[in-house]
Amino acid sequence: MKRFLKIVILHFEHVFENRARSLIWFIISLTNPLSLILFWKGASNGGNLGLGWTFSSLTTYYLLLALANAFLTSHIEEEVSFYDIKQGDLVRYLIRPFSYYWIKFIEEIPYRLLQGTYGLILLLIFIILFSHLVRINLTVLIIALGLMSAILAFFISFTFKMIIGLLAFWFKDIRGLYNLVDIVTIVFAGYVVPLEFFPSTLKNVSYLLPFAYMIYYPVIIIQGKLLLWEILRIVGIQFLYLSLFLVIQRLLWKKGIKEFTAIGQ
Amino acid sequence: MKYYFNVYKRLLKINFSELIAYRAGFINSIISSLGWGFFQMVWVYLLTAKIKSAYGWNRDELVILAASYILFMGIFHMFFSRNLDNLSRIINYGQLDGYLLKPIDSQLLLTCWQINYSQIIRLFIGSYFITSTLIQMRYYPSVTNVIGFATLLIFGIILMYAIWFVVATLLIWNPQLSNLIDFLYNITGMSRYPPSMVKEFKSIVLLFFIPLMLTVAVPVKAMINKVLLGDIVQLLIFSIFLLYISRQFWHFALRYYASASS
Repeated sequence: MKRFLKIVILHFEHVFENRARSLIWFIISLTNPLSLILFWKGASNGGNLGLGWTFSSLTTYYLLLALANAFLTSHIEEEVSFYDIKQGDLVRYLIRPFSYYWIKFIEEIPYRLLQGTYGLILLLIFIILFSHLVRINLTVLIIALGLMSAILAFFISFTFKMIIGLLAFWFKDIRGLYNLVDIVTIVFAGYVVPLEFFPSTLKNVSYLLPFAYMIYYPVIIIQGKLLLWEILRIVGIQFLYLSLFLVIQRLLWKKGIKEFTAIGQ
Repeated sequence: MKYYFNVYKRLLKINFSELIAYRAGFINSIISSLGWGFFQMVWVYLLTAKIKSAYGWNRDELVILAASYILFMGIFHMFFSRNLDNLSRIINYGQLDGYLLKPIDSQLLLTCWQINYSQIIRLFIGSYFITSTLIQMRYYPSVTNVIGFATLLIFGIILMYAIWFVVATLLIWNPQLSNLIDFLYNITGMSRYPPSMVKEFKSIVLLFFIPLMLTVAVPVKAMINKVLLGDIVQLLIFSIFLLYISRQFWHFALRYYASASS
């Protein structure tokens, strides 16, 4: 545990060295939620949007989405596929006494914490300046279940991106696939509108896919929009998805490492 | 001028040869362009599914705005964005020296070297959705509307190019901030919304977005016969002024370029 902590601290130093870069990444992730808030301001005329959503609850949703995105969305796929597998940096991980999965996980944590901190600062500024637009009714139970769902969401996101990155063992150029994954994630994780706004067929598809469980549901839980049994069902599905992805990741790693040529692909 | 035309003709040929040589990469880019093109339409359909209008634009007009954005970005990505994408790497690795030494204008060379032919797919997607939505609206634009749309779109592209180039020039001072280009990719998305969205707020921070939001909205207004003289003047002034500024800023920034691996 001490060794892991030491590595986390070392990576924190590296992340803090590039904090301006990290801030720009955060601002990038913020542009869409903020532009959508502005859009809905005009589209809703500040009123009711139906399905239990008002302009203020939608504003809260997008703000929490920005915060959750900063904390929970992992972006390791490019590093795994391009730098580690294609360029051969994986060699230096193979000679270390840690599993590749966990060392990458530890490397990712400082980025998420720094960007999440930017997100928290933004949320606080919003609460201070536009308190009438931010509606969060937190109880101890909702916080606890929301946190549990958020942790699972991060693990799902991380493992999923790891799987996508590991595909580089077999494919020469998977940028097209990255883009498709990004697009599907944006739509089905609720980055455009809450899933309740979707047409019924698309809504049903979104409930089956894993993307909503990576970011949408933790946000909705914190917003207090789900009943206790619904939250427990979501957490159960998150466990299932995480188990499935872990198995796939292990399989891909075991088979893929045999394809690795140690001087890059 | 003839010299530059000849150089550009040669660049078009070189880029086409590259496309033939690396077909897998081209197919990959086509998939990605297709994906992003259709995504923009899914985006606008989801966003407008529960509303009738926003900021004075009805649902169909918002769809045309999004489709025009696809067309616009197709042209922009085809000719410019990949070059600006490379600028950070060129500066960071000290390769700019080589470009500055060539007997050609450095801005032209750096921003027009690569042509991404795969983006042509976005032009088809954008055009298809513009046409189909206009037919659905039972609105048939006149020749003047179409010429106005095309002309203003060119000015919009000049304006977008100027904005991107000014921001990319900042990399001379801080080459590590290569994600400034990702930032540009992201904020460009603001141009698929009605400009009054930021005008209404009168916030200093949001004022920065106004030129960006004119790039697509003004040509679309010309197409649907809603354009005002003030809109056209704004777009023309912003595009010419910012193009001039981007050039001056580039020459100013070059004074601070510290050469290899600065």
